[in-house]
Amino acid sequence: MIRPFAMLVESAIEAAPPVLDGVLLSGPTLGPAPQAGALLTARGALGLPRRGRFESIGAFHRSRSMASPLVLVTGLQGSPQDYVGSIVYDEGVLFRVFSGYLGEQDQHHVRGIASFELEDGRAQGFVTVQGRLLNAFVLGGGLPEASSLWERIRRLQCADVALNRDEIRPLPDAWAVPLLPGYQRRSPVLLARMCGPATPGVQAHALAFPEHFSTLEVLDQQPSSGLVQLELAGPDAARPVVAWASERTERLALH
Amino acid sequence: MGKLLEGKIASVLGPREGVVVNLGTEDGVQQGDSFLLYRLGEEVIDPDSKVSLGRLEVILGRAVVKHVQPKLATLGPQIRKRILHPSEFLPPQVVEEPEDFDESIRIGDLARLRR
Repeated sequence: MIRPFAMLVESAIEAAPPVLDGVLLSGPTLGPAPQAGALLTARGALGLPRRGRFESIGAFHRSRSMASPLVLVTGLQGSPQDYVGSIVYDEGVLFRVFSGYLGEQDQHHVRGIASFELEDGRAQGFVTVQGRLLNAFVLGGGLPEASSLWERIRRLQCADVALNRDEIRPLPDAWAVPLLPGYQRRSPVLLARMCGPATPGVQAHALAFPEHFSTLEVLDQQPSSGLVQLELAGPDAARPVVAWASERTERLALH
Repeated sequence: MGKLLEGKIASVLGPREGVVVNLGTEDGVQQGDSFLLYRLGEEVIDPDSKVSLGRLEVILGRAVVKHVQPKLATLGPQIRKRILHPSEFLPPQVVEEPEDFDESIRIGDLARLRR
């Protein structure tokens, strides 16, 4: 089985001196480096996937917790900061994700490579935990094509954090991001950070716990910081705490 | 990664009528281009890392170039499409309406080309 290349992007800077209009990405990686010129998909929580080309892999960059390779990717639209928090992987590889809420006692701050114990095997991927919100990602192998990651998972481990299925309250097939309060426009504007490239106009679901759903629209992504601004689609008394793109987004083509 | 094109609002015609920005064909602006109109607000601090994420761009409106001259361009409010589902027995309706600018918009506020 060929393991796909995948990276959880922790930092992104414009290549200097400018090389082929490229960006240098750094973060934990899985699988072998692709061939130069191979197509990559960059995916975020609140937007359409974007496409780039792998150029080279270079010196190691020491991030917060580990040494990560620097990968030069060309052809990505937007600002380098848009890609912080994204997953970049070989085009064509199946991407599966779920989000979940953890118990009050299970607050962690973890981002990195994770191993997943599934009903019928094992898989590798990434996990991020911010406070009580968990996101789990698996690229490619380990799961049948039509199956959901949440349906198959039994246990996951990332760094020193190990969680069983029954410790997670799931949002199946969602990639949720925490929301911060922003400011009042026509209706409240909320902020999301480290969530990969966002697409203005995309509708997102939002959830104010315990069970209050509403709709948000992506307004814009700041090129200087990658902060994403979302506006509630109507007046709403409860402030949402997490958001994720609607299923419709997933069906739209690469752009 | 193209270079960002940013300018300033040079005249306000009104929240529904539009604004004039100090960018024109000499800067590469074309009729039909989209702009984000904004003002720099407060600094945002990451609640986890406590690191500054930069100053928040308070969005005042989204605009489309209606007319362009060598050194300036006239922008009108963007048309917003909403999909309404009035009843599960009726097909969804697409409603188009202009998205008015924030009433506080003023000369000196910022404009960024979105491509």
